[in-house]
Amino acid sequence: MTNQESIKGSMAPVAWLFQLITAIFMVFFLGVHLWIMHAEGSISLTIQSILQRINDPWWKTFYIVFLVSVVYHGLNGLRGIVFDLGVKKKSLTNALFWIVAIISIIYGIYLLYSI
Amino acid sequence: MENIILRIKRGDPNHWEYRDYDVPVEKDSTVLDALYYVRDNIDHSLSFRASCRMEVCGSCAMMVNSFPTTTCSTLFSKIKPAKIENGKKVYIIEPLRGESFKWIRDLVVDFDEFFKKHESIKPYLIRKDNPEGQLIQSPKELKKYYPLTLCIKCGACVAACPISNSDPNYLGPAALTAAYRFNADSRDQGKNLRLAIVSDPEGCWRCHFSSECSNACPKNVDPASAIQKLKVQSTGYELKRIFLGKRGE
Amino acid sequence: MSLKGSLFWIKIKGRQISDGIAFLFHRLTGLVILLYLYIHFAALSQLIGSQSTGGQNFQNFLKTVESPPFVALDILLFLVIFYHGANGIRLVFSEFGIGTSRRKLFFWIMMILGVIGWILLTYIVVKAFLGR
Repeated sequence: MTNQESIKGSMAPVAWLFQLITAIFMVFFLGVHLWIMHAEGSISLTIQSILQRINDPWWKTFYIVFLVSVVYHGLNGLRGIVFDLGVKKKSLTNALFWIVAIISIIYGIYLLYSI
Repeated sequence: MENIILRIKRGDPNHWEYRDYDVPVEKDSTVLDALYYVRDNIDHSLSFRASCRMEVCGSCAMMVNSFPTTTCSTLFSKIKPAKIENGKKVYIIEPLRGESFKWIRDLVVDFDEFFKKHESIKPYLIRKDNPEGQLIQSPKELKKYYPLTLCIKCGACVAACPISNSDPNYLGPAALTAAYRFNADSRDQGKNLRLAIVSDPEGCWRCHFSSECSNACPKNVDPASAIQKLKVQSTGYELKRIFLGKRGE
Repeated sequence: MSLKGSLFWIKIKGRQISDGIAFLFHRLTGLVILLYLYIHFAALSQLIGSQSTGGQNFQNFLKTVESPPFVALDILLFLVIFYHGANGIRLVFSEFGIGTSRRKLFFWIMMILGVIGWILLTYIVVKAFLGR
């Protein structure tokens, strides 16, 4: 028994899954970030140590994945709030979400490489 | 015996006000008893829906002190008054709120939207074959979904849900719980049909586990847990669709 | 679209702390952190070119952010982050269907852990601030 009308795809579960995965990532990332910048960093934060860290390829990867996670998690959360308001223009909201997310990620990577 | 004030929202969307009624209550009086008292003795024009008086029909759900509940099972002795004025306890009674309910008059709301949403998730057993005789089910299989069958469709969960109050298209806790109830039933074969409907952005994905529905439910159905399980089912369904190309059937 | 309906999100009356109010604060803290992300970007843009100038702008930057009002704001931000994180971990489990029936207990355990984390970090930051 199939009902063709009701069978359509939805990416909402994937968005949700990524929201949860980035959440778990960020518990770790933000923990590390807060530790090195504020706990340890309160005592010994110098420009040399920062430059040394962001020039290390592992740390660079870390920051890029962190950046992508935080931008996705934050903006997807905002998108959820907008949808919760009962917005009808779903595709426009989604397009805006992707545009802002991609610009934010590119800007973040630019900052990472230009400091 | 004690006299309390019932502050009831009277009127219709065009013209309304709060009116106070002085009602005597006993130790074991319910809010519904007090409403009947008002209608029988003070103001015959008061409208409200009620029938069984024993938490079975699901007609009498209202906002009591801003909290949605079935009035027939709400004892005055078990709830705190909204305020105390001139030494008398004041209880505020309002119709159910939310985008799914259209306020008609006094304490009566229109349930059309609510039941339309409920119907849209196919709340009935779907079989691919045409079985003869009875469908056998073990007590263990029954236990998986039995608590969810206690839902009386009173609408308290929908009135409590923050998202149902802002998004008119959200299916709402009652419909989603019904979807999970049939998905968890071993006799049912229409799981994917329902998952195709609830995995829509306006389906279970508008739920963010504020779990107010579970607090409000007078029958302790726990819609919040059911919706989370539905999310996991729905994710599995959509991932299968994306990676294995399996369609709902 | 119903902006009026969204006022219902901020209704506290009749809500449970571990459910509706936790949800409200999760939203608010999330918005604050998202706003902070862009402030953070703007702040970091002050550091562009540190590599070549040898960090003069970094010293100025550090002087600003290590002043008492900024440290106080930082500590407040930690609270916001720790709340969002602790409640978020609870939500991750809950949304996978784990621990949904013991919501109150789970919430308060996470809150206690979050506050402990916040106090520890605040202690380290304040100690370093006073020792400077």
